[in-house]
Amino acid sequence: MIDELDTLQRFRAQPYEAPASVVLRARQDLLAVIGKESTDPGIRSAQTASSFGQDRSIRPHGARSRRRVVVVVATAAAALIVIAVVLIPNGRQPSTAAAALDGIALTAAQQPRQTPGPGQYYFIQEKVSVLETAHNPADDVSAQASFVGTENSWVSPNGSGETTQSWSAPRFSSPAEQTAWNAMPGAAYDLGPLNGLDVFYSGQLTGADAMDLHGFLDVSQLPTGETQLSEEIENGTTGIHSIDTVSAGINTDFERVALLLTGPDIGATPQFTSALYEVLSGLPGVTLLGPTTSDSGQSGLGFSAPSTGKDPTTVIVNPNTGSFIELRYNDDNGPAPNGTFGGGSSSIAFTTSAEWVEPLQSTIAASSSLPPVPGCAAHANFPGCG
Amino acid sequence: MMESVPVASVRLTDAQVMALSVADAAEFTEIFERHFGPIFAYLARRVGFSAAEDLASQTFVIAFERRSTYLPHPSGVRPWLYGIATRLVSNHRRSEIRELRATARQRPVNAGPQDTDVEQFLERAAAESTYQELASALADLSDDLRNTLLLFAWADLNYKEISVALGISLGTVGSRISRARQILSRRLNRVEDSAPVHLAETPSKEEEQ
Repeated sequence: MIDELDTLQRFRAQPYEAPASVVLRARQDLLAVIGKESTDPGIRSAQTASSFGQDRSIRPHGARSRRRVVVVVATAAAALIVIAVVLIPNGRQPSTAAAALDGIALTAAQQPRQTPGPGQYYFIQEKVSVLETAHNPADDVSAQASFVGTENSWVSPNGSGETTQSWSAPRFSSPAEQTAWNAMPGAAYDLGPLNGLDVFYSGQLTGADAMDLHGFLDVSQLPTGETQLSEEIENGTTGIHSIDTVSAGINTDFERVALLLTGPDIGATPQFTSALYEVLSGLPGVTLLGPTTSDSGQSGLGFSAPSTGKDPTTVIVNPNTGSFIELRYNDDNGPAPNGTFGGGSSSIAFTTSAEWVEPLQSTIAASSSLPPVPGCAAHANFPGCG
Repeated sequence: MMESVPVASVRLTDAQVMALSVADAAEFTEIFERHFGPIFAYLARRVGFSAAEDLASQTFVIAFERRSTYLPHPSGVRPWLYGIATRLVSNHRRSEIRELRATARQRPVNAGPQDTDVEQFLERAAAESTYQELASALADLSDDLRNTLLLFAWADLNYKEISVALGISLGTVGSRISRARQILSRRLNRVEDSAPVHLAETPSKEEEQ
């Protein structure tokens, strides 16, 4: 007598394990649908607010040039924290972020490698959006200003190139805000008036000097295997000064990977980028924020990790290509003495893009023809002066 | 203020993740990571690897789009997902029937190198023959009976979970499974009575090589 149920359970009973490519494709299908929901303004604004991060030890070179007298308004920061707690409860399994990063690693590995053609230059554009809050303790008045910095670099494969940096004029939410800002000690000089754009730096350098000035990270000698790369990042033995000297914090490894993703990198292969995501996937405390809109309006997936600052550090990446979109952090230098330059805190969104272009597209004039940097006469130690 | 930063510690239940995903769509990826494997396996067993790829992906896209309608169940989101997957299989009924008929039509088994003696070969041949008849019987079942029975036998859902998955009463689940088992039992044991023994088809040594 045949047992029909037993027979049925043995029929086609071989383990049907989904191949990694099938899981990846299904995951991407799902992420695409999730991404569409991010166009919902309510969801997007909440997620953007929750992921706006800070960290004192991350300081991409595009953002390092200006220091301002600012003090964070505690109530605004607290509001951001409340939103973060509501949207991302304690106790989330890390597998969500890890799985998403593993998928992105696979995608990144399949991207074509960018290589220069004859006579081509590497063009890098970096943009930084800064929102600063100043507080004058003398009369307990606060004011906010926002501005955008842009840095363009043209670099040949041998390291020669040019860089210009410009900053937009400060924007204020109202005339009253502007009046309050201008009344801040030191603020009037710090933000302008700059007539829209000012050339902050331009020069023509070659070799290591150029690499250093442009802030490039030469990753060509780094391993492309996850385990080895992870060890070098963890031990601070990458040989890249700006990576190895990231100050020890509660998530130094995340910060190092975030900086390597941000670049601009020289010598990065798709395998290297993929390995970076694998390393990120294995780090503790990394949280998937979900669809996140960058400051420049690009959609991506946000990942964050606790930092030494008051907010997490956040990286936004394109899940369909594995390319980096934006790094968010808070540049918190602590309150500066009243009326002096430097110190303070800024909320920063940093983005970079890189491509090989024909040299003709470099429209930068020779450095000798550029106007002098405003303010240098009075502030010789200001970046770009002296 | 660092205390507010999320730190992974406690595993959320499916229901909690589903509730969170209504406000934060990205949370739903956790449901995908937890359940994609078993759902894919179930679908592959029913419609084959190739069709399962698309259906498994569709299952989670549909589940995501309908997540606000999910009602928490003690068994988690599993029955609900299997319900969606099963309805998708019904939409691709012809693929499943074609797979089953193909199995049923396979020519009688021949002895292979692994058959070290006649008894072992006969056992395997009988099993293959039984599977062919089983496939034919499954193909002949109505969709309702087949879906209910296979959720029980292949997805390991209990009666309560099947009632949630298919949106039918507990009594209907019991009745369907009972009827389906009776049909299969009759077909399989009829085969056993006239069990085909294809000794004549035992391959020659040349064929074995």
